[in-house]
Amino acid sequence: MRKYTWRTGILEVGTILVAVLFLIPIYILVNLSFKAPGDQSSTFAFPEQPTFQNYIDAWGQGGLGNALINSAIVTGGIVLFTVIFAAAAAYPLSRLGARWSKFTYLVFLAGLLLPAQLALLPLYQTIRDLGLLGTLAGVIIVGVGASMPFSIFLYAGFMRALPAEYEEAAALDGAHAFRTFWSVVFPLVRPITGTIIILTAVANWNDFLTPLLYLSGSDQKTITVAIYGFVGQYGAQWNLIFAGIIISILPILIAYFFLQKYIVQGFAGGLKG
Amino acid sequence: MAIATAVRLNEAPKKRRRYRGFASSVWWFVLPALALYVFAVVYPSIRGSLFAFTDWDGVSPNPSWVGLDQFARILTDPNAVVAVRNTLLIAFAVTIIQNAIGLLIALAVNSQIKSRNVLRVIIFAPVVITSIAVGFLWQNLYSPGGGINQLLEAIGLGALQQNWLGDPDLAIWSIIFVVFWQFVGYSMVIFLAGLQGIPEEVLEAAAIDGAGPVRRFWSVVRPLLAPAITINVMLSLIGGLKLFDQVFVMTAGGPGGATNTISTLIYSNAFSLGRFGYASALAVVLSIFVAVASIIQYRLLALQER
Amino acid sequence: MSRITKRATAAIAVAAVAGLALAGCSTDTSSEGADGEVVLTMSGWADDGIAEALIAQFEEDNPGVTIDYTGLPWPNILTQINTELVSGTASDIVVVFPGNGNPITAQTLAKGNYLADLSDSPWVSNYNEANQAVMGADGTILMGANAFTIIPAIYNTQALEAVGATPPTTWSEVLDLCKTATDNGKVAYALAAVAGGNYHTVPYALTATLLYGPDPDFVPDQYAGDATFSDSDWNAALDQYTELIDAGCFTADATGTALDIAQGQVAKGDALGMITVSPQISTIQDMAPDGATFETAAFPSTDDPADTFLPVGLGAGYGVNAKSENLDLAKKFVDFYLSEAGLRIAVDNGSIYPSGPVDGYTPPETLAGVSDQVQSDKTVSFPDQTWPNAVVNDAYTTGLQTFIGGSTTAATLLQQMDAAWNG
Repeated sequence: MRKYTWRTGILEVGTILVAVLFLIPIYILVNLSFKAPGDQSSTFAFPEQPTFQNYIDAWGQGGLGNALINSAIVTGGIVLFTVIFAAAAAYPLSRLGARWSKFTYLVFLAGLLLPAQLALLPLYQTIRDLGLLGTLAGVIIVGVGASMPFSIFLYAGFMRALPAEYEEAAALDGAHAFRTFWSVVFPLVRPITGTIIILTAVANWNDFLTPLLYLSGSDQKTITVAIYGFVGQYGAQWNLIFAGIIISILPILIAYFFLQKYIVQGFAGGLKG
Repeated sequence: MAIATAVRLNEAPKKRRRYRGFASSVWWFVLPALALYVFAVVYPSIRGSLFAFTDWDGVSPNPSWVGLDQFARILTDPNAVVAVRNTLLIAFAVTIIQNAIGLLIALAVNSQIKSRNVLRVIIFAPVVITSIAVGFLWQNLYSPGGGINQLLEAIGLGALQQNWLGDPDLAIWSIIFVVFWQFVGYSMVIFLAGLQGIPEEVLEAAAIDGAGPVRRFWSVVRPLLAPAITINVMLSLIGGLKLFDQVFVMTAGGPGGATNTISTLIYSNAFSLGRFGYASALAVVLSIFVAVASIIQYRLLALQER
Repeated sequence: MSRITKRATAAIAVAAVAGLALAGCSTDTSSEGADGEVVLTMSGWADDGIAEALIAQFEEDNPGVTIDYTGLPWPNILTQINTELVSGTASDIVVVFPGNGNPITAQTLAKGNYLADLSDSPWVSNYNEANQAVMGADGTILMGANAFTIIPAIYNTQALEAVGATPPTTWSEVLDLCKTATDNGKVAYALAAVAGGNYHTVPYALTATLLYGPDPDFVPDQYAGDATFSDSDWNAALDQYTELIDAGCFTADATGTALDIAQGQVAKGDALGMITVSPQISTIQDMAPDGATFETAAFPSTDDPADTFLPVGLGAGYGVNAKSENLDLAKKFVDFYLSEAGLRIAVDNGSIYPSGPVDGYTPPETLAGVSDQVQSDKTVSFPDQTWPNAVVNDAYTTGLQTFIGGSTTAATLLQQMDAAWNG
């Protein structure tokens, strides 16, 4: 173990200073969420009369309780299937030098390049034809498909760097291929799995266009769709929006806080296990 | 089963048999991912790109084929020239700044400092806020009497106050800074995952050898971090080239089109100007752009991975 | 991972896949419930109190009818409703804007015949020719709107009193007000020139008096090819805009100021007023401290108050999806929305200026300064609603930003608008 020296101390102070700069906009976000709409005190000043009313109104008017549940289902579903499908697909793609696997990998990478605008209308119409409009399943399918290029790219990058000895050491039986993969290879890439979980979760938790487009007309709303209900043509209720955003980011920040410890410990654990 | 065994026996003399053994038996692992991906991305994108060869206005029932006219039109559109320039500037600036600083922060919070867990959360926090809210928040901070100028005034740097979003030359850099602020935590997380893969003993061995921190980083950490570097550079480059939300919310491409990116131009042509065909042509061009840029940088980074 | 958790994980995965498939199949798309109840679908603004009240009343008047309302935020409402109409998945009743210029305006949607013809509706005769022209295309009526949007100057009464001023009624008084304001460390008019701001409404107010009011033939002449922006009094209006900017009438660095900042300046009294569309009054009131009051006046651009015209346009309203399975019922709702009873519900539930007659209606205090003129013939519609395509509007709003920033001349801006007009 490296020791905590005076150099580490300087590093600590410096990093904390950077973090404080990062926090300024977030402080303002939090600050505005406690201000009454008519409070015209300056951006940095504390609210004249701090109020929880924005939170209560956002929760009640936006129906954020139900929206949180929908967001959790959608995000959870997308993350679960993304991790399973992407890890599985990335493994042969990263290990095999065959022409088909190189080509397939490139086909997946191409998905990173394509602007979402191109697919928007045709995909919407396909989902319509399948009768999946207005269902959480539609949003999950679209989300998992769209997450594949990014997750496979990350998994393949890290799996390539993984020394091959670990899998060679394991006795491999084709009949239980997936189980073998799941218990030998998958734990080895735990740090990147943690990273993919958190990044996919953030992207889909915050996604606004997909759930708006596909859930419109149903009673189901995700948290972002509910929050943007406070944006009108001639002005937005920003205090409510900011309160709603804080409600919506807390679960994911807390998840990240715990998950990052898991990511950090992950690799060592993987080596020993 | 017999056939499979025969195939394996046939393969036996090949050099890399043992290495490829397990992986080659599980090619079908690719199928679920491929099916969903083709369904949700490839097929609709191909269908969408067909609009680029039509004069569709977004509403009329029967668009007609116009061949390559929409692509030719890009060459004569002054807005497209500005948008392409801005898109490249944003992509390169964001890639360099976000990765350089993201790596420094990752190294710092991967060290023995006591506050590292909290700092990781703080730097990551902006990633979690939706881009539309980030855009609004910064639009407010950047306004002439807003937070940034107030802060500069307060610390005695009042002379540096600017019209951050209203000055056509400055606005693009103001946007770049927001993207950096929002996504540096993203780069940090991926670098951190990469740093976890470097065993403590390797770093300690280097330290005992007497290598200084810079030397140790360059010759020990950097090569081991190569996959994370490649992934980060690739993702920030692509993210920068496709940037939309933040620009759309903060300036909508203004003032006077000075901050248009290819993505904002696609949006305005498709949804406010009734030029869906032209917008699709722009989207196709954007994909080609991103492909070329990614291949170039991937080749460059592949060199350093060796 | 133990064997049991692995099994559990696999089981969950399988169950989830099955669940996805089932959820997909169980969608009920029929619009009639089991006991003959009819469900109308409607896509409107998120958080719209007027729509809520209208629906409640309509459901009460029509037993067995339920309206399923989807509220959408700005600006996604534009792309959302457009995509749904094009894909045949839109609600029975949808928000539609008058004129053209965005993806869900009457004239844009007319190209694909997505909206039902409402020409025979009883309320059509309440509207004058100019209004009817923007409510549809080629002589048909495709939408109706219950409110007029006015472009007055909105003033913070207490801020005016504090500097001892009253709303100006002549151009000279405007310039005087600017000086009084700057002498008192304030600005006369809040201005936001970041996209989505109010910067493009100022020339609407100026051209009303200088061009569109006195010369009602200007637009027909433009369509006939006998007139252009470049050769019109748009030049005079833009010169006046420059004069106002140079005189310090507006928020400093307006090019970097967003709409909500400008609204806040009026709410707080840092700016005495703001030239903007009337629905923003309630946004400004919400931002203002308790006890603040606001008033309105037409914005002058000559020295004779009798010259002043007021820009009055139709706001967004509703149209009926041509593919609706309940066409008659949807039309019935729009008829109710524009009936006197419907208009009364609207004025009781929101601070709007009704577009049709409501017996005994008194306009809100804030609109008292312009309400007489709204009813008179000293009004013009918004110029952009008369333009032939959305590209003119784009050339205008984009070019005007650089005009305000000082890097584009009036001549260049107007040439670009002419070029866009000719397509």
